[in-house]
Amino acid sequence: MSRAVTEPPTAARLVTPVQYLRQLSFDLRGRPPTAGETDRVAAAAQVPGDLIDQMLKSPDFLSQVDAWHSELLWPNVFRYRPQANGVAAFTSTILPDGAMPPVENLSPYALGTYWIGSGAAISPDPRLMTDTEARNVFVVAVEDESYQGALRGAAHAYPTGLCDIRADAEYPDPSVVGTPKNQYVVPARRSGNGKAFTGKYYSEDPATFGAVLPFHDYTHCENYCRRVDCSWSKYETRFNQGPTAGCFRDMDTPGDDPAGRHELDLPGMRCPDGYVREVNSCDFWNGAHFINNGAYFYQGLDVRETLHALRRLGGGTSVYGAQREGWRWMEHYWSQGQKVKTCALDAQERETGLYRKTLAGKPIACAGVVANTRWYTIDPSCGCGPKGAYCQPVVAGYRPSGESRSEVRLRSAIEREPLRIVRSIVDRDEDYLTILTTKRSFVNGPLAFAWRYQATALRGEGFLTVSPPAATEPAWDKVPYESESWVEYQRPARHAGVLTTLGFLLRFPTYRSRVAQYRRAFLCSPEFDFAPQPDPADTNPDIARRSGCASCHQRLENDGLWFGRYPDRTPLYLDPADTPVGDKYFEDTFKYQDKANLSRLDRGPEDMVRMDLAASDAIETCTVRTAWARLVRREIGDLELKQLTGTFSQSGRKYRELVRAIVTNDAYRSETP
Amino acid sequence: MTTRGTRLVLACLNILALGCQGIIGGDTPRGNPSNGAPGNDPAGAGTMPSGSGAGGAAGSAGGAAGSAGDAAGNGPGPAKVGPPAGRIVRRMSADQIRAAFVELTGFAYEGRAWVRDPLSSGGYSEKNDADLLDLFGSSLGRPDYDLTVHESLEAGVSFAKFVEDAARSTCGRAAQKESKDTAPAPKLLLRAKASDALPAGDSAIRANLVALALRFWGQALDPQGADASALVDVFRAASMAPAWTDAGGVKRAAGAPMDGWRAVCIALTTDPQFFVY
Ligand code: HEC
Repeated sequence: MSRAVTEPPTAARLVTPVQYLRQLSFDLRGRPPTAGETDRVAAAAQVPGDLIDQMLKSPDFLSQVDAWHSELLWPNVFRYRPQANGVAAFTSTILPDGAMPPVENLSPYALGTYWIGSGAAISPDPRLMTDTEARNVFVVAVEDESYQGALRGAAHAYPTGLCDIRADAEYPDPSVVGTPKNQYVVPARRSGNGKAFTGKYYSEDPATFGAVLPFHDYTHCENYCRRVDCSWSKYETRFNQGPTAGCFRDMDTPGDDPAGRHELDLPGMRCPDGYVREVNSCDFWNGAHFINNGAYFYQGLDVRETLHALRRLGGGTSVYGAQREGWRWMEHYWSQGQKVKTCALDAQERETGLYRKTLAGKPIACAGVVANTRWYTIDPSCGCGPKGAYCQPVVAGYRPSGESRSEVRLRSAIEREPLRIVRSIVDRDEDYLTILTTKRSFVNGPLAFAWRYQATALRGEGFLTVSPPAATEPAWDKVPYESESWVEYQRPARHAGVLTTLGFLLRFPTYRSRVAQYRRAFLCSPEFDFAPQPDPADTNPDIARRSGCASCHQRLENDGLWFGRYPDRTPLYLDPADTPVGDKYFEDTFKYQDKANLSRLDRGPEDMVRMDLAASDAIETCTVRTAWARLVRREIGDLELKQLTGTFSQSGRKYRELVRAIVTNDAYRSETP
Repeated sequence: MTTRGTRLVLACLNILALGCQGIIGGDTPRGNPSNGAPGNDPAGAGTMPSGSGAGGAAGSAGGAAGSAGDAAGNGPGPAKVGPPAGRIVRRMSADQIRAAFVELTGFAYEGRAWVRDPLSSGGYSEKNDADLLDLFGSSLGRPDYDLTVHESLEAGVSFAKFVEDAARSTCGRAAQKESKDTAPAPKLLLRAKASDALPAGDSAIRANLVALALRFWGQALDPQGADASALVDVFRAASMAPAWTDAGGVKRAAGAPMDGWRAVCIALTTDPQFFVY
């Protein structure tokens, strides 16, 4: 706009050596020159060439390279980030054992936290506790996806699914479960009605499992039936009480699996009258969940230790059927060597479930199933897995953007991976354009851990599992979880530089957006910036041919095939072995595309880049153009472009050489006054 | 302060008027049809092949994109003028301004704020020494790559406000630290001693001002010139202020040389010559 002035541009003047130094230092290192450098340059009245070299070789230059490439790769996957089942970790509101603050003083968001007793070696007075002490105290409880949903969008996030971690609620030694030892006595002072009673601990023993997994009274079969109508209009009857409640219908008919069982026909779920208990799948929509033994549920919150919940809420006393879950000390992969009090259900470390079977009769993997998750993944014998690998601690609290340390570390590793690839190629003075094709990549601790153990446990908005970049990789095994340094490895042939990193695929979640960003960022293509007037009469379902759409979508649809094995809005890769080109999924997804192009599915994004590279120097000139615009801050002229592309090309497309050529160019050294 | 604020804003406007398109919005190396520089047609014939496999239809899409590019390349007006020859100055980015304060005063601008803290319940905690220029980076134009994807280098009022706050805080701490001559690695006293005062110390003070201007602005000032003398005036006003009681009844001590250097530091860092490069 401002260049539309009619006067010819004023002649530029060369900046002084000290100003030149200042520019170089800010641009190449992100900071001003040191006092010594300024003095030296002022005295010599010139910037020595080796100082530029030194800057280009400095680690600060690589940070600048990160920043410049962030503008191309948009490293932010917050809203699409994969997370494991949450394990709520609390560090606050520590009160002496048994002390109960008055109900009205409790924020709903602090629910549960006040059960932390003085069992741990901390001061009983919260005011005397140091930060470190507070951080050492965790209550850990699995909570479910509704909490993650709340983290992402809804106004509040409840800490849910808490267990009772008072010292006397310790989980019994696994060797004695199933014996009378798994009983406990609730003393009168805690019972809520002044009378002591006997309850049972959660038990892993299949023989007693059913017996000690009583749902709350209201889930008893006679009034808690599978509903026929799960619509919102029936919301008010979700407890299925009274004459209008839908009743069993097909619940007692032969089930879904070859053994004739209903998929939820777990031990303890068959009611005395022979019916299979429904586990309230309608409440999926209510953000509530149900597998908590001894569940009490209130406003979407359930607490595994019924009695206190009721007392706190001033509720009734009809809860004696409830079972106490208890807890175990357990070291989690994220707990930095500390043992953490962990609810018994979550502390189960087995890798495959005991109850739920696949339709083929195989045990299911606990990585995708945690005891406290949705009805379709339920298996009460699945917990957080070995060292808690299938769960992440989540920040309990109101702020939707709060993330726990392990969540931050994993997300930011996903975001930084593509930048690491670029960095390595720039740093090693390799052909810059291989950032779009290289198989090389990197992992740090959290990423290696995720690829090794969490792929099927990670889930996010609209997806339930993540495809790691390779099936296995020895380099991943060498990186400890706590490590922040990046370790290099080679990915399998399907990969194409930054374009197949999880960070890129999540940030650009559809094949169309991936193609568009690739072309915008690396071909400097403005082709998606103009929308012609559509013709309302044209209703061609193929938007690659519809008027008003074709100018963009012809390209997007056809080039999208190269990303076709990375389905929209998932972090998945569809392996040709499982999903061949002729698969119905591809036929449906790409039904309008030229069938001849379907081979692009198997060739993948590298093939797309290769064709663009073979056809012209567009990626090369775009690289020059983008670097120039960043450093000289104006459009590059034809001649300048030609010269610099030549220099870049002759250098073997070394990015440092390109940058050097730009910053030693007169245009960079002169300013338009 | 009003004058300084005005001066600052005016200076930015000045930069705009001089064809500094970059100061507003992100850099636009591509994609703006109205400023299409010659040769800005990367989507044209050059990149056809990736669509060409789709047969005739793909060809026409490539052609459509190509013609959009042509429109950009051969558009009326600006493209004919051609780009100015030199580099265009703009203000520093959020990260650069932070780094500049750290390097030049030795201090980051710190203050009380709620910061993300994954170890606290709720995910945030209040810190007294939060790194404010980092924390408020997005207000200074740093993109989050979610809602904003280009660094905004707009020299607006909030930028001016942050810079001034940062200047007052960091310059104050640097001056305090250097009020003893033994302070190691001085950032403000490059050529003068803490005890140098006017009028006796005039030449040392001018030498120091010149050194500071070179460091903060990259400008070589004439020690006796108008710019240096203006800075001497700033130094004098602050270092020689008599003791007084302000309107709120608070007693203010008389100025000392380090008050002068603090004021000079603030003057230097709130001037566009500092944050525009
Ligand atoms: C200026 C270029 C352009 C034009 C013209 C255009 N589109 Fe798009 N369209 C895009 C891009 C780029 C994407 C991918 C963006 C994304 O998913 O972030 C897209 C995505 C889509 C999607 C997928 C959205 C999703 O959520 O995955 C649909 C559907 C769509 N466009 C329909 C149309 C229709 C219908 C027309 C014509 C009326 C049209 N587009 C015209 C550029 C365009």
